[in-house]
Amino acid sequence: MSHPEDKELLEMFRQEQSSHYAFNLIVRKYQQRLYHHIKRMVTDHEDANDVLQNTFIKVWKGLHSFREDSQLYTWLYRIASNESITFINKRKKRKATSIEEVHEISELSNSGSVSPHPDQMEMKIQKAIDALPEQQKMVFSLRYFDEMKYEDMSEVLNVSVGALKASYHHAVKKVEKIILGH
Amino acid sequence: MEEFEKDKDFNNELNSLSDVLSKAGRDFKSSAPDGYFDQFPTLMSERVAQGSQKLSWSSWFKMIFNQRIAIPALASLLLIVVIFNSDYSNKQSEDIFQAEVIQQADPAVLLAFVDEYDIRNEIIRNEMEIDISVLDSDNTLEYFENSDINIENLIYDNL
Repeated sequence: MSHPEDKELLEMFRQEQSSHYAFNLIVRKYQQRLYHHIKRMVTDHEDANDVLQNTFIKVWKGLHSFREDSQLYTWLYRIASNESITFINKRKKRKATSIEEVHEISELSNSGSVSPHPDQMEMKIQKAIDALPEQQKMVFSLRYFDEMKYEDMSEVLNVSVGALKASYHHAVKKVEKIILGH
Repeated sequence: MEEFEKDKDFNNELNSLSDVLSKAGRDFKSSAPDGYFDQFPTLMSERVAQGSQKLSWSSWFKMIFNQRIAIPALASLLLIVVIFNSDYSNKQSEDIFQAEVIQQADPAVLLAFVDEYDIRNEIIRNEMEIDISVLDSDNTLEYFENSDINIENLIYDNL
């Protein structure tokens, strides 16, 4: 399914009679990317659904004053990332960080081979990502899965390109280490 | 899509990763329940439309009674009313001892603040023909109202 360009969507949104329609098109265009980005952060579908809804509600409220200083998609990713971090911080307060999960990852790593079954691989990667600190998790997700440019990531996360490259490098090493069980 | 251009250097970077991350991990996509992305835009449109509508009286009513704040607010209001009433009652009983209030007060109320011992002394001092043994709160007032004894003076004596 082809989607209209962001510029076109924004122009449509600024006209009162078509703002709801334009918003619906924005949701359709970006829902999957934002959902996967959020889900990699929060892990659970129900949580990802809540965060995604909150993200788009903020988008609706903020889009009227969006000045196009940044690209629409980096702005959307920034809101989704902030909402995910807020959600994770709230969840942390509710329950202590699970040390058991890290043990589970090690056990899984030790029992598996270098080329495990794809389903097992998915689980391993998700668990490895979960073990990363929030910032590295975000950087890894945007770069490794969304193949986002460092310049765009810098807009999303408000961090310098150099710092992002270093953060991604550390994240990759940690994920590899966890998956290989070293 | 031009606005979501992927990084051309990414493939070079991917090749430098270990086999595990450069092959298997690239296929990993987190899954959503079937039909989720078909329904989600409609859900969002509904949520946004609800938020844009002006609230009717019934909506306000529902909102007020659905809010978590309603019960604590009601409890706080009741507490304020109770404290105010209690304060007002205490103030009234304190005011009864004020001179202006005493002059305007019902003698029957004043009598409640007079010591029985003082009443007996007053009867004796004024040589009143009252059987002290039959004095009670009802007939004492009647005796005093028919005499020249000023109850107010007894009150002041007791302050």
